Amino acid sequence: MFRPAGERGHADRGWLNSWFTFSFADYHDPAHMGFRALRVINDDVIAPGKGFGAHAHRDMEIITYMLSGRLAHKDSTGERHVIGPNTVQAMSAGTGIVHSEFNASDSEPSHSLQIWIEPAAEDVEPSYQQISFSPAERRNRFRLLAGPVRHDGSAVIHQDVSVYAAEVAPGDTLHRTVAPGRFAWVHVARGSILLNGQKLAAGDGAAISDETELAFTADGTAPAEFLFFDLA
Amino acid sequence: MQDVNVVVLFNSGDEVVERLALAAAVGAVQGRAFIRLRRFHGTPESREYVTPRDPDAEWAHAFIIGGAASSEEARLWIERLRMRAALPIITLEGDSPQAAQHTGRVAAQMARAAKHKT
Repeated sequence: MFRPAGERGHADRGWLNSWFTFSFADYHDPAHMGFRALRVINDDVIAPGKGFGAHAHRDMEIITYMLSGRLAHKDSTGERHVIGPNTVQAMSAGTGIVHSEFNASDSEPSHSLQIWIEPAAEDVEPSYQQISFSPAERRNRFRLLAGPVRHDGSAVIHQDVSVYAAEVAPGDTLHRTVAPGRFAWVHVARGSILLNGQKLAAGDGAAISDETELAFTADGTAPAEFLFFDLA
Repeated sequence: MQDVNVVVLFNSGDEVVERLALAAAVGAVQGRAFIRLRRFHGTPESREYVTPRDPDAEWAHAFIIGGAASSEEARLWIERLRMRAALPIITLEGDSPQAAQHTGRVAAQMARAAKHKT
């Protein structure tokens, strides 16, 4: 299934310009309620100094992937951090967590992807994790950001989902096999790729249910960056 | 299933009171309530919180009040809430986050009872 960027839900609140791959808040489309355990991909641009005030979550794995700018995080577990590109924040809301996220800059917008994954079990202990990596770690390879088991410094989430970031250089191709019985979702963050011949540009998404051999080719003169979700 | 709403109002620039309010809010979420956190004017500005508004009073099934009601705005709000006798208003006591969290859970239960009464 191809999910074009321009067909996503959209909300422009002035301080926040969001594109919703799946139903979220006031955007509701029964045809796009998520894919497997992947429930939300919000593509958020937040104005300088603005953000989400203190609010609560329960029973959700929440991952923030920064594309540009910096976000200031504060939560009820006492965590206080500023995250930027090449840093990933993973929060298990579990029994309940209250947090705020603000653009840490007074002059530059922030651009991030907020991802929600439904946990395998309810009522887990709330937790916060943050990982950083070098851009080289995702260049022409899949860099594990979060998964059910810690590997290579990844964050751990309470679901059988592995989230990877990858960047393909112009003219190069990355290959990936989807294991039998598994599913995948691809979200292009920057640039454009050819996924088994299907062109995907920034903001586009695609669900993979039947194909097992995937080829990601950068399509253009700039590197292409995308997220790959391996889903039960 | 989250089916009731709890508003946590607090009135202090004191980090301890903020921590207690957050703990109470987490307790209410543990009790499967939706929450709103509101901070009164008259305290140092904090971008994490907005001040209470009339729709908050309409939305809530129960209220938790944290910190001393030292500002005129806070006193007026609490007075107005007390006039809505059907809805529970719970005051945070002490300085223990665990106790505040428990208060939040109790508030969720009381909110549920109040909702079913109406």
